[in-house]
Amino acid sequence: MLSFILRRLALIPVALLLVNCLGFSYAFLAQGARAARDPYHAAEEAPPLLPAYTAYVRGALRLDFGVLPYASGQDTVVAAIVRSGMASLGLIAIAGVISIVVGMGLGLRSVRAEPPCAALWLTTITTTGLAMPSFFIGSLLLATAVAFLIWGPDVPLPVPLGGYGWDTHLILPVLVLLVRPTAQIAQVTSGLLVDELGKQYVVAARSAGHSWRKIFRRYALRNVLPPVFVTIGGSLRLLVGELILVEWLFSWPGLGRLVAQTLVPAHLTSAEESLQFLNPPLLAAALSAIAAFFLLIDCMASFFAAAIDPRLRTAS
Amino acid sequence: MSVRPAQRPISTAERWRAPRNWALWLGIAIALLVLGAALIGPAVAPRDPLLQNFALRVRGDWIGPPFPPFASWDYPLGSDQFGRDLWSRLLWAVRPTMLLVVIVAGVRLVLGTLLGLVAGWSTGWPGRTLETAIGGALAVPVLLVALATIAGVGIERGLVAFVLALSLTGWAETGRIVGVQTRGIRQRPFIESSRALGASSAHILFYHVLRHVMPLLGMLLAFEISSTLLIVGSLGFLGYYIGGGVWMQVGDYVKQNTTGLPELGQMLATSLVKLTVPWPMLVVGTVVFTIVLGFNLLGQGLRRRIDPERPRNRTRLGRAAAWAGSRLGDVARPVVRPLGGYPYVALLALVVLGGAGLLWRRARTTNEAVSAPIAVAGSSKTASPLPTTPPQLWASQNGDAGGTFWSAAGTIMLTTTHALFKAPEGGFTGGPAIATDGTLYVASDAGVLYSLGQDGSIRWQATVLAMPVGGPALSPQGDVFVVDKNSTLSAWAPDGTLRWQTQPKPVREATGGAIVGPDGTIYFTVIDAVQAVSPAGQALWRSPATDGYVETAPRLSPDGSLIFLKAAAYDTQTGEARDFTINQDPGQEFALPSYVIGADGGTYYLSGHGMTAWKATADGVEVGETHAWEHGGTAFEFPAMAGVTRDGTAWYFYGADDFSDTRIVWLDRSGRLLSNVFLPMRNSRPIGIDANSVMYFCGQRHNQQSQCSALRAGDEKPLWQAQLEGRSRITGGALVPGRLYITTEDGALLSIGAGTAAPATR
Repeated sequence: MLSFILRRLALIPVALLLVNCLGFSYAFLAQGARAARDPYHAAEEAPPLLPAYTAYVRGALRLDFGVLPYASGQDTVVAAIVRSGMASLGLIAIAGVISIVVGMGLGLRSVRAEPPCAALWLTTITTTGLAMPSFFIGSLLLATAVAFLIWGPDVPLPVPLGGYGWDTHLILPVLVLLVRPTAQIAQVTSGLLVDELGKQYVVAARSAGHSWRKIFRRYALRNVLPPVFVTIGGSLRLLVGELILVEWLFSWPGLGRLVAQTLVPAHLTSAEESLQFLNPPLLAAALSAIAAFFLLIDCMASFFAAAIDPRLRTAS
Repeated sequence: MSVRPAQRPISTAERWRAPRNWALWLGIAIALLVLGAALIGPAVAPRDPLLQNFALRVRGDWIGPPFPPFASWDYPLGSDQFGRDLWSRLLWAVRPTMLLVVIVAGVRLVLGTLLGLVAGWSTGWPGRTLETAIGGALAVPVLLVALATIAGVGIERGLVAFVLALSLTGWAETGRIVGVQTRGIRQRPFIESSRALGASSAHILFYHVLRHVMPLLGMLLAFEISSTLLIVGSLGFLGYYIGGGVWMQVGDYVKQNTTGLPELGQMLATSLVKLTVPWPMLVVGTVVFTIVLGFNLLGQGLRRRIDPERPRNRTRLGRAAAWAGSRLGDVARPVVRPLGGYPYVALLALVVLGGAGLLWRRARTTNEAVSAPIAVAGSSKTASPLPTTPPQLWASQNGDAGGTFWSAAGTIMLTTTHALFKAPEGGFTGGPAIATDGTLYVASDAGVLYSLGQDGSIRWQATVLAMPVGGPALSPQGDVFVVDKNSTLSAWAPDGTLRWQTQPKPVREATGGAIVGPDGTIYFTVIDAVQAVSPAGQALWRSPATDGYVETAPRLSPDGSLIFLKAAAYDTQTGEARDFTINQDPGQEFALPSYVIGADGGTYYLSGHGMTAWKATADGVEVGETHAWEHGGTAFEFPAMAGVTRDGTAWYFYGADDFSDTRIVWLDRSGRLLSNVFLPMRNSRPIGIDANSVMYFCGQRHNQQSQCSALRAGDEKPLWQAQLEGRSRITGGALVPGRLYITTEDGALLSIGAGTAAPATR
């Protein structure tokens, strides 16, 4: 068990280095390629990648990961990543916990025993939830808020429509974020349980006179939990993709917004920070942070799965 | 899958109790709706998707855009911030978006199937590598990969960027499912027997495994379409959408890049302007959501349908559909057989290739012949192509096809005004066109074309199908043309018989009056494009402009080889856009650049407060001198119009709206400032320039009294000012020897001058 976990953890730094290098090189080369297409800069020679990257690595060894490309030059990349990473982690943690609880709860509630199937209401909810783009849920909430302002009672809006703060500011982004993972977790949980309840051992246990409750809790659920954990890991990873949209919509200064500002040129959107577009140190750091998050989630999911299922432990 | 359990008959009661495949039917319904919108959406859209409107009267109140939904029947779903009808935009948007999505989904499906087959089949390093690749690709959010890819490849690459961005890791889900299926089939006995018979892996994969995977592909395609659209929508929301946008004037100095012909991603990108106005976003989002949901349901329904464990309990409708399907299969078999039994693959390839071809054609944006053959009413005599007859006195709104305002008339000094004609209803949409024999043609917004004698008597009148745009235009042969709001072009012979009327498809609003080239070809502006129509009424080509919304008529080069729409140039023969780099200044985009034809026969490029002389040569362009004038803060806007007189004097005309007074600036050939005249006159427009370089222009005083004036090049004071009766806006005019004609928006046709040519004084 310990060696299993250690082996997975040992992979993390290697993967991070790789992602970092990839992010830096990609941003650097893409910048060059874009400049070559720009009629006003076409004549300029594209700088070579290798010296730039070695300079970056040399700085990184002195723990200097570069500064943000603003005029002031005070804000380091590390500080920005930590700041926005914390803001995003908070959103993900809250939305993740709620969607795990609600999703698994819905999934468990929806399972019908004889014949084993999922309730219609769950299929409806999950199908609808999974088809909803985050920006659509966001604009639905915004429309509701505007309707409240226009037709509702004459009080100030209870939730702010955007911005940063660990209070009511959280409500709208978290609401938008948790829809898709909740639907996904509920769908997978109920699907796996339905499959499990159709198995022969359940019939055998029934004929041996065990109660539904016992069969459900003791056998079926325990068999289902490991793949559910893997799914939860996947859902949390997909949350990062949603994060880009949600933070953009609600102006939440997190990692997703940072990534979007690094990957979408300002003239296409309303973003102010055009200097961040394809900034190599920034993209490298942001991608590394996201990769670290992914790997940790993955590690945790397999750890929990192994802790529950003895077969997985012995196999490793 | 091949062995079906023996079916026992199912009773009607059981059939009704059994769960029906609602997902499939709902999915099919939505998919059909989407298909319908993609096929006929633009044809049934009630309004032009680019038509702007900045004021709407709702229950007695004037409101500005974005108009809320359900407020007015004209805007059932409301409008965007430019007052463009959302309902019509949506109808137009479904086609390009779904084309893009289907192409991407097809690429993902083909890639995923091929790689999945290999991943599931191979037990060596290719299989292991692909397994890892699938796992890795599934782990990273597609949105992240897509954003990074487009940022690098560049959104200006259009379709290529999108296909690359969405397929790079997007194939993984299909790959995983196909891989799992392949691995299952691998264990089956018939594979073993095939191998025992000596079949190669490639043969088994192609003839046995692929055939078993085939039923999954329909379901997978539906899921791919749904997930692709989800990402396309998200990318659009973040500002990445295909096709770029158009620049739109929102203030004197402010241009905004906004969406051209709509696409769902584009619409999402520009729909959320203010957090407190969420409905455009909501409407577009709902459409995206519905389509995603529909294809999701379709996929789920298909999955249930091909599930071998599920009993076949069809409804009557379902059985009918199955019967029809099998009949269709019988009919199609002889056609499909030669394809090696892979109709799905063939169909898919067809869809992908056809879609790519269509989008490619769309992206090339030139030579788009849009009209169907023209229904010819009245006499079908085609006009003779040679300009043997003399040019008309005043052929179109701005004088001639080049829009030079120049007339061979001598200076008009007698300012007596005559009310020649008053339209019984409506006002005039533009100035008159005047034939060699002095006949006037003028169009009223009540939809009537009048042919008038010099004394104002009606010779004949004809009905125009919709509200005319600009003034009529005359061909060298004397045929008269009127283009209307529905971009229908009508042609009449000089005697008033209707020659033909075009039936434009799709109907787009014409925004600038027609001009006629020396060969009889007619050109007019349709919002953001130039339409060329042959003398026989055949649509020749349509080419888009660089600008978003153009309300001026196109201009024809003196030799007739090029046509210009503001800052865009086209070959008159092919409609191909010509790119002349004349002004290198990167800021010129904002200086309202425009091509100008001089009455001296030269071609000029107006940008900001200056003009550059240039000439198209066989191998490109020959750029001459640039002359600009130092406005020193006296001009707050760019000129509304500019031109060059016969002797090479340049003129700049400022102020053609409700809020700015008129300023006329003259520069001589060497760029020296001759005069800079300011006049308290608004809504003004130049009418004509005579042989002595006297410009005639009309507008309204601050008390809205209409007035006309004449100013000689280089003079500081006008030669004369004439008050007109009434306070209506001047919509156009014409200058012929001895007379200045003026049309107003309340339907008056006035003439100034004695009616005989005054001698030229210079």
